[in-house]
Amino acid sequence: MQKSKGFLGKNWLVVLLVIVVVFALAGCGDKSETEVSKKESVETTSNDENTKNEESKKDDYPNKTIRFVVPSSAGGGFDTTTRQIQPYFEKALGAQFAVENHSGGGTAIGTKLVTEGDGDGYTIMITGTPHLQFSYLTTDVGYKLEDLVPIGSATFDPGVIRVQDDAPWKDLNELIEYAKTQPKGKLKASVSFRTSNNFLALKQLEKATGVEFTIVPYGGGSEARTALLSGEVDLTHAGAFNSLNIEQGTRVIGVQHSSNDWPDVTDNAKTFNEQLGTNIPNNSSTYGIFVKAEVKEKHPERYQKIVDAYKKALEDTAFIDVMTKAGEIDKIRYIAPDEYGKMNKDLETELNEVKHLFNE
Amino acid sequence: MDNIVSGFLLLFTFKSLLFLVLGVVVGFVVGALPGFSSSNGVAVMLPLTLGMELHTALIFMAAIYAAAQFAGAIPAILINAPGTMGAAATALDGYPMGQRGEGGLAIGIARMASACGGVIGAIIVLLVITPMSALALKFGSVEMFLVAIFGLTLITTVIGDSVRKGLISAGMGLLIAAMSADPFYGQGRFTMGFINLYDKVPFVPILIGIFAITEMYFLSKKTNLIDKVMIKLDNNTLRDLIEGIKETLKYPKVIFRSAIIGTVIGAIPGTGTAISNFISYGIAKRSSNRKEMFGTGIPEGVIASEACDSSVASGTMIPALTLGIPGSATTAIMLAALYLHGVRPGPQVMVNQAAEAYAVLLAILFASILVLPLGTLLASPLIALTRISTSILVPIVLLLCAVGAFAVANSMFDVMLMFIFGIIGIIMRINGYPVVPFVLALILGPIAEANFIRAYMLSQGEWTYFFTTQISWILWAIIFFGLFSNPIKIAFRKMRQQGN
Repeated sequence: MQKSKGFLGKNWLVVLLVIVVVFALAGCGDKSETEVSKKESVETTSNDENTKNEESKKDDYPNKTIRFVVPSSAGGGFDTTTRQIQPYFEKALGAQFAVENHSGGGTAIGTKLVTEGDGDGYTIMITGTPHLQFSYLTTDVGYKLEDLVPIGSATFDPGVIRVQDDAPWKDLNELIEYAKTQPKGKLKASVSFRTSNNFLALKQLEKATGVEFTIVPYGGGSEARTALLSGEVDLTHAGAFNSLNIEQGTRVIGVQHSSNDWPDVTDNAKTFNEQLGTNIPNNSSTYGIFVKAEVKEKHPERYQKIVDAYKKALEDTAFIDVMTKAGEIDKIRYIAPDEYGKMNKDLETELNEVKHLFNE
Repeated sequence: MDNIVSGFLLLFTFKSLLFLVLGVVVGFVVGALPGFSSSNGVAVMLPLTLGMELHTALIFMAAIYAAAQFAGAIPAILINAPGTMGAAATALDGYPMGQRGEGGLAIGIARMASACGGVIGAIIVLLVITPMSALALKFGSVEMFLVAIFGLTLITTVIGDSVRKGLISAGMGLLIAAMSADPFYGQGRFTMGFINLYDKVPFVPILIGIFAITEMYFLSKKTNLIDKVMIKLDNNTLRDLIEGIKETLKYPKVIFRSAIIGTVIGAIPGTGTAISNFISYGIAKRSSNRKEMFGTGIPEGVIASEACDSSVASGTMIPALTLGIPGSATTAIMLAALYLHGVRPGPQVMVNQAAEAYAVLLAILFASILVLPLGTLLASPLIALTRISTSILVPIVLLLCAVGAFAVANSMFDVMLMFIFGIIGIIMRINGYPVVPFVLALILGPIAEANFIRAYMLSQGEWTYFFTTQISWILWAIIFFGLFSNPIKIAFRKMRQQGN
């Protein structure tokens, strides 16, 4: 017994070290902070009830760390955009953010966390469209568009078609004319997922022109673009900015928007409808900032504070400088909450109309 | 060559070297904790690197990456709880060594093998990064499917004594792997209403559960980790270091082969250390003249796994730096760091940021070398863990595992999953079902399925599509040879004997 005690004593430091490291790491993952905020939030709500009359006059929001939910893993598109905006958004709102990555279920896990969480304005999230709409239209996730309200959009990425640099087609029109002379499905196209605006876009193109592609979902945008680079497929439909990493070796032959406002990053290609004389709807994806709908209903002044701060952050000259340096400034597009909300509703209606295309 | 020199100049500044050492230490800690991996570590550090210069940030991350690859072996060897996905293969021979009281030696071997693998991998990549990127692009859906199938055939090498039980275990792994959105329609399958199961089954919590939690159950029945008879264990760090080096260098063929396998598989986007380590382990076992000793705690087993997973880190840099395609979760975050520093990942990186790119590769090389002294310094106190009474060790490890499983995706669901699979592991082990076929099938199943479906769509129903490229021919030949060379050899020998 005596011996084993001495034994433990000798290794006590090691055990202690291990425990300290664990807690340090857990702290890095923002867990401990969240715990603290939760406690605080309980206190604040009870305080709120006591001083409800005063609250509308003098609300010191934000007075604690704000939880910022990213519904994808670190290093992904949502995460990168969040971290680009974060310092300026924090400055404008006057609060610290604790960024939490909650990936899984498409984007549903992170979104559910926000829609089922507190609507006190201390939780903000980033997500995208049509990712958001697809998540509740295709799977039973337990939330709908109305459960969130937008703070504003962050980025706007128009859909384009890319082919390899040495592909025989000068533009989309030539590609379609060629496809018409070939057996159905001869031309192969890659898209990120079947539930993506890219898949929908190619289906719309097929319907408008009567050609048929073999459309292969690759389980991710990066994989879909690699497939074009390696020559496994003949074309890919992707976001103009999202696909800039394969700029070398591939070129844009058509932009799916009413006008090409991004000639520099799209090889000055013409729009789908200009080339084909068709009437294919616009196609794009956006990233945007959202909060639970309850925030706007119960704390309109807090909601307004977030909206104003976010707008201010995107107008911050330091932010604009950084984005210009990265060549990504054209991707940033602020759409005010009312208009962005309407866009999202319209997109939902549109996706509902073409739902059958996804089940063919 | 100029680029390598300018890479050197970036790396050999006080600040860069400081962060190199710091990165190795951080990488060591995250690698040694079950559930935490280099990708967690790098992700946590990402916001901190924003204030650094680009090359410092990348060197820091590369050092974390390289060191974590080694450190994952330590808990695998000491307590059968792989610290990283790749270290699952290390546990096969490392843990039996640890139980014999040779944990220090096993870690010494893992350390030396990691250092060698890391150095060889980094040198290969430094010399041939451009041609290798062309090779990486040649791995399309068909080739990826074949790599996964080859990996599945390696189940034969880890199947254990009962073929029936081994196959049932593998079959169960494949079934559970199918509990993810189907790769074509994106419809959830067997999610039982949990959206957490929609994307794909979370591997890491399952691995922790089936290895570590299961092991803790069996450990809790013993009073000491190491068998009583062997308790005479003197903790001589320096001797372990030297013995580890000596023992490792006895197997140069295994080191080189494993390092090359790691570099090549690492270069293929979407594979990762788990596959490469098992492939390396399987090949080492097959070509060894003491096959039956594998799994009982022999140095080759540890070397085959560890030399491989360190070179994977270099391999994954190839598509990341030359094409902007992440080869692993960790490189994905490194690419995000490029973005955040105003550099768009893609082929132009090798032109505009060539010095930084080469500095990253050199950082991996030097971090791998640093693993020898720093790894010795940091790992030797941990060896004492094996002497702690299990009544203290088991609860600590359980806590660590729970924290690790949670940290992967900030999800309590994953912690529950870990415990469920811990119980499944206990039931399997009591009934004599080997878990490694289960794990291999679980990891390879989704890769095989998704790539088969893609290849099948691209083939438009033409089966010859699976035989169109040279690489596919080579892979088919390897699969065929791997499956049938032994029975054919035996048949010939028997025929000859009968003839005589």
